[in-house]
Amino acid sequence: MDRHRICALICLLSTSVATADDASRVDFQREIRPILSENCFQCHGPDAKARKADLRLDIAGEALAHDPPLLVAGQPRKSLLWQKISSNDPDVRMPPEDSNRHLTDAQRDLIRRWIAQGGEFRRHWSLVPPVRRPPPIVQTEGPSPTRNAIDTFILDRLHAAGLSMAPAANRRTLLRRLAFDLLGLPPSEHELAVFLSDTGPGAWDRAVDRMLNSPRFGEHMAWNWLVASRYADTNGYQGDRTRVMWPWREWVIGSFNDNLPFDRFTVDQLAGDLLPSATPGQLVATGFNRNHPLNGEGGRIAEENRVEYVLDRTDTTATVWMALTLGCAKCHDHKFDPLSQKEYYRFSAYFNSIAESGRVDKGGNANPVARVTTRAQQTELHQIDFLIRQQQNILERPLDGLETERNRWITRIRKQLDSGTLDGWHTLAPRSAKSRQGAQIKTRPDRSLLVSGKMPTRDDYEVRAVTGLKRITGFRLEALTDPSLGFQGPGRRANFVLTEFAVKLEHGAAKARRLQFAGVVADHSEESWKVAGAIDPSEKTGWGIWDGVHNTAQDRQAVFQLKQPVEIAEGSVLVFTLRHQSHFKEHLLGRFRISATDTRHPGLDTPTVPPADVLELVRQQVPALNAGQLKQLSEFHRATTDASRRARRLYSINRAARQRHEGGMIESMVMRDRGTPRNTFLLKLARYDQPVTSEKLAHGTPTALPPLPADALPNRLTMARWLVDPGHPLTARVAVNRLWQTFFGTGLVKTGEDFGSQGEPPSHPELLDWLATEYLRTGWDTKRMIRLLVTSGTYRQSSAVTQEQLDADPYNRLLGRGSRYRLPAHVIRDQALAVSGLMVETIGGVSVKPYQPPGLWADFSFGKIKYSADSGAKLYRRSLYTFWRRSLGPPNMFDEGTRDVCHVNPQRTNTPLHALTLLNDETFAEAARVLGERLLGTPANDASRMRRAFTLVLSRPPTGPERALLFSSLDRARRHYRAHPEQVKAYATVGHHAPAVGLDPVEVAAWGAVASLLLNSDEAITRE
Amino acid sequence: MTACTFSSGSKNFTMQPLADHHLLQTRRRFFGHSAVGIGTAALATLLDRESVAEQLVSHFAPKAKRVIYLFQNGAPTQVDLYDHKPQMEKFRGTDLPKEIQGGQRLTTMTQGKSQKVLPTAWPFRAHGECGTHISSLLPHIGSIADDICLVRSAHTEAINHAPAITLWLTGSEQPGRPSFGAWLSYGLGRETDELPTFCVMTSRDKEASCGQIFYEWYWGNGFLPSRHQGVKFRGSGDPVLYLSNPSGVDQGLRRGLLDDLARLNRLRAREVGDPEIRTRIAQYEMAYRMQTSVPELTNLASEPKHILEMYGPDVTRRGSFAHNCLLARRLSERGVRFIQLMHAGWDQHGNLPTQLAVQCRDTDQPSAALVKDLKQRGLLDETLVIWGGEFGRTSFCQGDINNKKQHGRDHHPRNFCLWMAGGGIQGGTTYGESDDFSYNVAKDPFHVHDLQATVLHCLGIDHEQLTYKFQGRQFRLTDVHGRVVKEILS
Repeated sequence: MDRHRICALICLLSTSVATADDASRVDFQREIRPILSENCFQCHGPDAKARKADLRLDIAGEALAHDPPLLVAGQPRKSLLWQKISSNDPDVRMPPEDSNRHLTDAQRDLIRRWIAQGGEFRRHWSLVPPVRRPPPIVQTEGPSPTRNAIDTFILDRLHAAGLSMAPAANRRTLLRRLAFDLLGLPPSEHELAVFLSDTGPGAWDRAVDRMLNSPRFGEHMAWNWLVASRYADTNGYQGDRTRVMWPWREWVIGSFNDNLPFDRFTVDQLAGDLLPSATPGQLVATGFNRNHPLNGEGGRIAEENRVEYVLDRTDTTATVWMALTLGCAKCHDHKFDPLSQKEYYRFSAYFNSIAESGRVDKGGNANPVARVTTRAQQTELHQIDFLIRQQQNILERPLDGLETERNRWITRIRKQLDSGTLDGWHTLAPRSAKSRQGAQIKTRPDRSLLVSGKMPTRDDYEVRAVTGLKRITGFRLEALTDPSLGFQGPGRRANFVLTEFAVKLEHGAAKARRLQFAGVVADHSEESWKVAGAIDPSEKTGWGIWDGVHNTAQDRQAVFQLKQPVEIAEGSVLVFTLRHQSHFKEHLLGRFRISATDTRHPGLDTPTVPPADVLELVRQQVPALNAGQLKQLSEFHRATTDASRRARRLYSINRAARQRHEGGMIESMVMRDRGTPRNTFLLKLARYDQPVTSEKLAHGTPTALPPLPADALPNRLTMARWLVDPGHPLTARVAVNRLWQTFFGTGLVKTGEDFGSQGEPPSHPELLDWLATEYLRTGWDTKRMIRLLVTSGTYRQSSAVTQEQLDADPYNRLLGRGSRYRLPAHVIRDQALAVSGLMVETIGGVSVKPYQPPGLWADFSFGKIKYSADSGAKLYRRSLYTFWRRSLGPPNMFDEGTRDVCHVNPQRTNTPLHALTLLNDETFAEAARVLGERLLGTPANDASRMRRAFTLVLSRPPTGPERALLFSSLDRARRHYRAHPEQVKAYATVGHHAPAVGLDPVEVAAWGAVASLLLNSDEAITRE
Repeated sequence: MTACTFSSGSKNFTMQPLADHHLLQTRRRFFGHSAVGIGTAALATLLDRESVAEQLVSHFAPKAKRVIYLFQNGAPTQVDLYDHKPQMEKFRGTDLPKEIQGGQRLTTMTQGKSQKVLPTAWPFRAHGECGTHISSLLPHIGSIADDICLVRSAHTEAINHAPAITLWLTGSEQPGRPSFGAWLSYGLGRETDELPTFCVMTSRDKEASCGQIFYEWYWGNGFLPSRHQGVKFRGSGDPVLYLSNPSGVDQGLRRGLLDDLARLNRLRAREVGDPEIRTRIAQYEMAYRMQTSVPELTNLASEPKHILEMYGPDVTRRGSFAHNCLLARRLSERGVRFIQLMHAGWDQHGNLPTQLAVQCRDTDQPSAALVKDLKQRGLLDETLVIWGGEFGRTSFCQGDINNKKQHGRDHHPRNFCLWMAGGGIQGGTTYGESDDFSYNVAKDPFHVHDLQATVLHCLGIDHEQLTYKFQGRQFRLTDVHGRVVKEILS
């Protein structure tokens, strides 16, 4: 049966439908080349070492130059090729007996006819840039089902096969199909109602636009990209440690939602780090090629790992962007495609100079890493940076506008100078400063003291200073922020507690005199650490300035007023003791400055006396100053203004906030090249320890593809830009083919991972090329391309199938009907969460751990790694966010590609284990119970509840027979649960979601059974 | 006809009698409920339609129908267990001769350190009529010496556990290829519908002395359709994932639900015509049957005392190697194609004198019991049992040779031992030889791919013909290597 179908398919895919007469044109690309590739290239193809008889059949030039002539146009009998494949002599006949290959009569006949028709030989289709041909003009009887250019290509082909398009599916099915394809979720009740009530022209386009603009779109589109990129939350191999790559996932979601053009999507991920002034997002994007496994097994040779990673990136990049099986050329020249082993390693050079060691050397990550910001953090950072710039602008505001104010200030100071009493704080020049516990204290040019080095639990500082003042009325202690301090200070780790501030006056050999304070004020004290505590004798009290995470980091001051003014004799020394003896550890001042004054009533508002050099300038007449002097004076004044003081304070707060952000940022793996590039060599058998060092290989791309620009730098950026060059024959085709696969189930090229000689040729080559050129023409606009696909008539066909259709086109490769296939497991789970109302729609963030049967992780890891499921909202996030252990993926995600290597083709199998999962997994069982509660939650009768159940799960009301069937099922469940109260009780415990209050538990269980039935129905888990 | 019910692949074999009865019953039930009434043959095609053509690969008359692979993770030491080298004793504590060592690749654990010869501390003894020498640590395996072929020249390229195990089980060091059992499931199809074609069980030494992980790809399907993936039988909880109904759902209610589900799906099938729906109905039905057959399989109540005693005292402890060996016999009886047991704990880098005996005690008796038990039931002829690890261990000492509490042996890929029994293998034989230091293969090398080629041969498959096209290339288990070692065949 299957054989028949395959034969039917081959007939359909060939242009010569049904009649294999000599007149019908043989298509070299579709019909001949695959035969030659499969049966001849192994020995007569690109691999020079394996080549027999010096005959090469994969390149036209070589094949045609052969003597005796391989092909004589129009004359099969004179052509060596025909002679060889048709010979009856087993010693002559090709392919040889022992090659495991053999030609059928039909294949031989095709070749004969092809030679008879001229034997035209062309390059492999995918290596020739796409050519845009105008869509064919198709005649139809009655109204045309074509809606856009796609349909004319499809219909033209169908007509050639004697087939036609199916009618459009009904609107409910269509909306459901669209929602699954674009959002990965069934349409909500609301969306369904909106769409059904919108009967005007353009309703479909409006529905498409609503979905393309939903944030769920990016989440859904991200899934396949994650699989292609082998994304996981752990490294794999022994230890299988947790890594941080979810910021990259977040970037992917955002890129799809923001409709980042595919060329930028490509360049950012392959070489974002090399872009001039790369944004943080572009750096995160390069995580694409850090998603491979990391081997942390004890005893592993790091270089062996590193080389493995380089080869993985090479293979993955070639598969994802070019659908080339470049990896086949690791150990020898490619057997089928024009890719030499040397070219493989030249391409690998782009990935060979990452600043990495091959070890897991940065927590669970491996270098290089970058501190990265999530989207939410980025918004906050932008705001902080804006504020910082604002304060900077104030601090550096133009001096011109301050002239009047400055002149008034000069006049005031001059008056004081004239009267001989400079009113204000005189900053003391410390002579020495010591830490009792051995920390370092350095004097800065602004006479402040900065503490660094050893971090004792508690510490006392002693500062000695002299002053020119004759008399002192008080002291000022400024606690200052500094970038070198923890959280910017002013303590060494943000806050400090000053338990004592004492001053002695020393004069020669005379006994030092301790000065008595009348009082102290500060611009800020903590509630329980008032500044008065610094001058009382107790060590349990002191001055602290904690003001929450955001406000501690700012300059503070305390003013100590003396009981009596003290006269200072010539040669007297002031000795300050600052003690930190509170019970808090490491609460030590980090930067501070001490001033003295002879002002009568020193206080917080007392200004600071300008330093001597500034005073010198104040004394002179302004016009007499040169430009430099005037600037110095004006800048000093600007810094003393109230506006500047306020700005300085806010500036330090925001600087601190920024630093905290940076400290709180997580590290994620990115691409970054090392300073000196590594040499790249061909590796024998791809073994890291067998390089062919006689020849250093330069960076390069395969010669079968367009050349690089002549002046291009040998780096990844060049390679990434080369991939998205409009002249590249593969990238656009591969990308639109993947989109086609997403929306039609199978690509136009079925082997989305292989566009090479051994891949399947496109079912609709002209359409593929038209779409590829359209993608280029519209600037790689992905949403626009998707809109084009889903607004086609082809997309909107009904997927119902008749036996005739099945016989004619079993796999629907000609697209004469809609495609129908099982939804992927992650969508089935999301659907269950959505229709039960359990789903939590938060975008992005760290991965979550929903239900998983106990013991799975412990089993595989000998108890070393245990799974502890999250609780609450984290149980109900979309599957995209489920923690993915590379060695053991989430057990209910069947048929989802493993994350060891890149996968680009979905698997859709059908096994009893899948049935067990959907019937028994706690996730689905809970969803059924909660859906039961949801149905019972609104007042209604059984009939309307049944209608709603159907609509929620299947987006449609039941038919008559379905209703009857479901009611009998409901009745049986009711009878069963009435008779088994213990099961009713047990049923309420399924899942963590608390049972709804006020509902009859028997009804919940019975409706839960109906919900489970619906959720397991073929229609529910199928995209129709 | 019976044998062909659900799989065209099984037509080379007759159904196991135990399964036969069940199958008839369930078939009757299934088709009794079937309103559409699809034919048996059609169903067979539907179930395996993706690869039905490729499944008919029996290339010649098979000797074996099934394989039980007792994989010993961590690499058992051939020096102390199977490769008798009494002449090594006079070199005890001296440097391993340079010409023997030959500049081979070592792990970073012993690179650049001294390599003192460490002969075994345990006596060997000749066993059976064949007189094969086996260590006193393995008396039970010694007792089946006449049933096994002991290979003393196994070798591999890999020197780290995961890549080496991956090579034995998938033919490639890097994960991503289909595993041995998946290839057989794909190549030979099902022999039973009650149970999966390919079953896996894991266990470890009680001390959990080594930290190797059982990666899923060891029984993965690689690029083959995922239904060929091995099904893990678990040592705790449900024996198969999601086998139990949720709380508050009993089998009676479930039966009703599945009947209604089948009806609902048939209504849909009538509407949309997709033959896949019928497959789905059948798979839900099989899921229901597994809910009965698996607990029946794992319930050892019907095993008589003398059988339990054969496997040793651990047999009743779920998750132990002994328990798994007994389950392996039961799976084999029920027609499971490939049974993969993995037992970890052989990685004695620094605890050889203390831990090796414990490890042997856990595995020796059950391994031998399995072979004997199969033999007494007449199943050994059609069941191929393999016992072996991923590589061997060095004949030089790792750590201080004088500190018996903390020394051991490092990984050694160049020469080690494994054995096979039953299904097409000549018992009472040895194959290959190592040099005087059990360090290099001296005669008849036996590579990983040779084992794979030979086992496939015993199952009637030409290893060069069992291929699957992926990324444009025809892949096979043996990659581009492998030789059928005809010398060891019966």
